[in-house]
Amino acid sequence: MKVLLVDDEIDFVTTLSNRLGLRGIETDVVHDGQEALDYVKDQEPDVIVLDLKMPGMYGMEVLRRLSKTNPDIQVVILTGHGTDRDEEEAQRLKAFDYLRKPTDIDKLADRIRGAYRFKLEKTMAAAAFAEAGEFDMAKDIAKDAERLKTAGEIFKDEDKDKT
Amino acid sequence: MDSIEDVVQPERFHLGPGNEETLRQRQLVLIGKVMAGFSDKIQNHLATIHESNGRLGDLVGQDSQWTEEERERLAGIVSTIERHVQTLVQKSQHLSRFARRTGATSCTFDAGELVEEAVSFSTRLARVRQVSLAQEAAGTLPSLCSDPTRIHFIVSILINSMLERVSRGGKVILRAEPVEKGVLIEVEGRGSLDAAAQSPPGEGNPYWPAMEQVVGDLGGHLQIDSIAHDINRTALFLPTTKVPDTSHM
Amino acid sequence: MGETQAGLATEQTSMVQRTGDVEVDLGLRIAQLQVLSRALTNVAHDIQNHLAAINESAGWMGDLLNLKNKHRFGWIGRFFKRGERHRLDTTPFFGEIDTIQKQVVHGSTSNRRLGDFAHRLEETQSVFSGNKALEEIRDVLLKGAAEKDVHIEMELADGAPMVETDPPGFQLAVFCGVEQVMEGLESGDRLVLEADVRDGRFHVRLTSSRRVESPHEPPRGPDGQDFSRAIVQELGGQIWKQPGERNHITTLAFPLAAAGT
Repeated sequence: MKVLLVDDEIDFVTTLSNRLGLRGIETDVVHDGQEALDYVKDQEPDVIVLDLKMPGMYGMEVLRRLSKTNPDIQVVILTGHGTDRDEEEAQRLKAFDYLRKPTDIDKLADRIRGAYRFKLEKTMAAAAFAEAGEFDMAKDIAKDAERLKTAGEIFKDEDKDKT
Repeated sequence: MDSIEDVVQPERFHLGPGNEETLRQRQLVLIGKVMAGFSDKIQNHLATIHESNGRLGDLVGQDSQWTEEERERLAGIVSTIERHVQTLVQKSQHLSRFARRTGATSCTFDAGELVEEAVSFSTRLARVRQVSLAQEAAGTLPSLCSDPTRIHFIVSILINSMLERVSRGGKVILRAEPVEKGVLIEVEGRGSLDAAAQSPPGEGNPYWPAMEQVVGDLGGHLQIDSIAHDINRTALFLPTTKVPDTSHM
Repeated sequence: MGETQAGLATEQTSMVQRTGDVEVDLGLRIAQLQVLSRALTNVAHDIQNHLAAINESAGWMGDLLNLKNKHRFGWIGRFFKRGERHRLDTTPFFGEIDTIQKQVVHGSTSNRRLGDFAHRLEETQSVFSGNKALEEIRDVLLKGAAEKDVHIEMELADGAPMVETDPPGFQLAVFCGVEQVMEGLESGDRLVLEADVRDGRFHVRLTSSRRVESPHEPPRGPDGQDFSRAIVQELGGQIWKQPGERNHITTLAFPLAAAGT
């Protein structure tokens, strides 16, 4: 699992990275939005933990761009100042989760693992449909994670038929 | 709805000009109270954190089971916490001082403190804009007898406007100095101006007209200079004593 | 005829001037609220970041102490003595770490309220939770009551629908309403603030334990209007008072947001 932490508060994000490391989650760290986008170009992470208000480019703009260019990357927002409106916007842009600072480290670790699992399931489901020749469904899943649910229902029905 | 003594008719009416000014003042009073309540609370939390952290430092120092390396590492954590606590204490003191003046229409206060608070409240914007913000130490400033919330309003707009005009990597410096019958507050921007900020300061800034009006009400004046192509300065003169002229309201 | 025209012209000029003044005034109030909103939002954000850093640092110390006792030497193991026989008594350490983290949680809850309050200042009309807006001024109301030795209780209905009006105006109206009721109360009296939805409006009901024989003269604006009432009406709401045998009820009613907003 490749995880990127994006936050301009150096003490905070360094300690967070150390603590996640102790919980088996190795992370890389960058300190602003542009650095995050540069990192994504070179090595696609599975999960990004993203602050919202940062120097240069705001986290919401990073999320907006990622939702277009790298929709597979799962983003967990971790912010100190988010408003209800920010949360709605993050949901609209399909962020995996929205947490407020300070958060419990084990809760954050769980959400990161959950985001990774979700990404894997999504990729596997898309691959399974592609293999079965259901290319439209595979494409839909790759584009829109909401379709995973539908895909899951189809799998369940197929399993029932087999039994 | 039995025994209603006094039911207001539902027709709409608008606050008159006098009430509008009362509304402004009362809103400021409420905001001041909210800020003061918050700063008292956060200072109590910080005091407890400071004590607990101090105790952690003692425990790390006393225990003989640590290697030097471990002790250093743990002591490093203690000092990191203390550093954040001290920054917060300072910020909440600025907030508290500012809160207690908010809503007063006229009082005597230290102009240097007011500038310090305005700088403290703009550090986040400076960081986001990637522009450094500093206050140059001032000599002894005379106290001002004026409307502190209006002056804070002016100074905030001048700082924020300069922060938004100077390009990434630039610097904004605040200076306050005593002058005859008043105080001069200078906001100097060093570094090239953002492409979008080539027009004069205030253009496109929705708060500028209200700010200029307030400067006039307080008997002050503004001077905007471009010293060199990469040094821009706005100077604000404020008289030592002035009760805002709101006769036009 | 000429005189009448001259009179009309003067009237018009003074109307224009008055309108102009109101615009300048409105401009200042709203500009001031927005500039304050921005400053306070930044302060609240800064504070939250420092609190989060304190929380993580304290947690990191806890992690290291646990590691030392568990003898789980991963990449960090080089910082600890190997082959240690006895366990370190970490109880006093964790006591302090726990205190720090609890204080961080309390502090950040208050700070979040300050941030929300600050955000609200820049809006002149929006859809918002009346309960949350009341929570943000709870401390101010409690402090005002404590200064008079009046016991105040706040009972907010769960899941109340959203209000649609000027949010800082709403908070000011309630604050002024409470202040006005408080004027008639004495040490040891009780005031209950209840918020719920009735007749399609968001009601804030202030019930005081004392029957007010001669109601306190409400604060009036320069033009003689009852100021609290003027604000409530400006917000599209209503205010009424019901004196009872043993108590006195003041109700402020505000418009709810249209369904679906």
